[in-house]
Amino acid sequence: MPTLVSVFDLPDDTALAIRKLKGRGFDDLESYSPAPFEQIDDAIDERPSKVRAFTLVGGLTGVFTGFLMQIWMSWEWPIKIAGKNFASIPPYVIIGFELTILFGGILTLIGFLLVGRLYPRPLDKAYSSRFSAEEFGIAVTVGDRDVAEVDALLRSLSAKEVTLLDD
Amino acid sequence: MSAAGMEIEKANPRPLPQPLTAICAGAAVLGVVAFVYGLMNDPQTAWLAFHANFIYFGTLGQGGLILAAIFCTVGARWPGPYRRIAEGLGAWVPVTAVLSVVGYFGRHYIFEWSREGAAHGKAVWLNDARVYGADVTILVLLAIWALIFLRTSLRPTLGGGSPGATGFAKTLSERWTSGWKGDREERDASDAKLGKMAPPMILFFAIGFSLVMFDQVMSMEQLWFSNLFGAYMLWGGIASALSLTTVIALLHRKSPGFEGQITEARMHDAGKLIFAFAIFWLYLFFAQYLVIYYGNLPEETIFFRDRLGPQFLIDKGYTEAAFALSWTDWDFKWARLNEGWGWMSMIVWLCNWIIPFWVLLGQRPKKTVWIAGPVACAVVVGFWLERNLLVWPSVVKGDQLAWLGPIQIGVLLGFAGAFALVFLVYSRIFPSLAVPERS
Repeated sequence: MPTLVSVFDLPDDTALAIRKLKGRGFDDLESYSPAPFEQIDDAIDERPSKVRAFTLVGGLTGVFTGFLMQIWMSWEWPIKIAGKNFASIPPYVIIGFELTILFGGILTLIGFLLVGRLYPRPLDKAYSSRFSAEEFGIAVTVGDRDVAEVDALLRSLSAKEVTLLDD
Repeated sequence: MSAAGMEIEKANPRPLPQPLTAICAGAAVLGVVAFVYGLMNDPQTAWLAFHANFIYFGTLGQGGLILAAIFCTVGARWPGPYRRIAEGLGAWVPVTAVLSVVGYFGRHYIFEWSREGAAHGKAVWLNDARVYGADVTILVLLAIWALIFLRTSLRPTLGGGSPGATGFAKTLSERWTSGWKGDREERDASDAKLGKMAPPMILFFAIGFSLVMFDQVMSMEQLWFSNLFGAYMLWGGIASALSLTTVIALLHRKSPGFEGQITEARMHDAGKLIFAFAIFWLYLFFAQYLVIYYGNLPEETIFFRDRLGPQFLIDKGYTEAAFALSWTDWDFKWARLNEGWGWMSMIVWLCNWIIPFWVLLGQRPKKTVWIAGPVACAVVVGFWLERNLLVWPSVVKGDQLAWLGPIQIGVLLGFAGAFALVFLVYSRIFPSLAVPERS
């Protein structure tokens, strides 16, 4: 399937082009941007990021680990202190809370790296170092017979240049 | 900054809404009647109700002003009309100073140390002259500072005088805008002055108002002490002021001049703040509760015992039987919420943390008027209950409904009516809530 790479100057134009492409049914696309822009993110995918699922799992794991660890420890090695419960909630809240933050934070970072595909991998063919400087790019994979149509569409949407990558 | 931040705001005077103004005035009069009736029949109740409302509306008004001062200090551009509304709550600050003098006459009913003498070693600090001398001075200074702040902040909005202003509004607005230099110059001058004035005001508020809260609320239980108490009270004031600001902003969303101002983005931001403030409120509570729970010293636990009830503290004693129970029994019983002011404490937690936290967790509810509004109302009501919960059990132990009764409701109506009346005159007549000028 051929891939069309288009270059834009402005984030708003890029977002508009993404929306138009998706509106025409060309969903297999990737955007490149030198900095995060909300409008581009929203155009690509309006749903909230999947990272939050990692955060939730991490947080819940943390709170359960924190409480269970302490309760297990006080059962395992009971020490009588001034009539306090062995498993009393108030002092355990702190460890439970801290582990919620710790696990939640670590898993958020991991989720961010995974979802953002920020691990060592070969660069996309469509990527150009220009997209890390000051230009925006959209790579859209289309069927052979749609190349001309999408090319014209992108040019009409203020793309500076459109190139065809075959693979 | 952004173009939106540079727009000129203009005063927006409107006639007082009827019959709301009349109802508020009626409620204020009713409050005075209820208070006087209470003084003659049950002075203890009347003074405690007065004191609880004095504290609540005092922290609320001052909290509003400080919220506006914080917006100025950090150069917040997002609040738009929210800042003007928060400033409007600050119009109550001078009234608080006056009411603190009124409270002096009820000191025997409010403070044990005033009635029966201070506990051993505390008389140097807890005596009428020191407490009221310091507190009234601080509140008067805060009131003067509030008026200077409001005048500086509002001057640029009054350019050319308030159109259609008559009587005292015209006189005041002319006086406040003497030596007018032009919209842009005035606004820049005001921003520069506020930038210098707001940070010391916030600091003075934090230290001075903490002291007032130590004296006026904490000392009611004169054996109890907590370094955090001042900050906790101030935070309650700021959080309730933010919630009330949000409620008022939502009520104004279709008012003339406010069209398109109470945007989804602003509602989202205000919702986030209410959410965060609720967490921090509970955090402050918990930070103090935990050390007192763990230390388990009688002079410290007494405050929580009277409010949450003994089941939230270590009350098992040292017997083997009680100790064995702690393996299996987490020792929370609904029925034991009848001890202390347990149920009231639960309602306060519900209103001030559970509802704002869990309802405002998502993005949609923060942006929905009919969800964010009621939640903010719950917080406003919750803090009123919380202030009652802090005041009443120090004197009336165990009777959870002591805050409820004809005198108490009458005094509340009086305070709420007067507070609303002050805000209405402020927001409608002078100086009025400024709105961005339409071009």
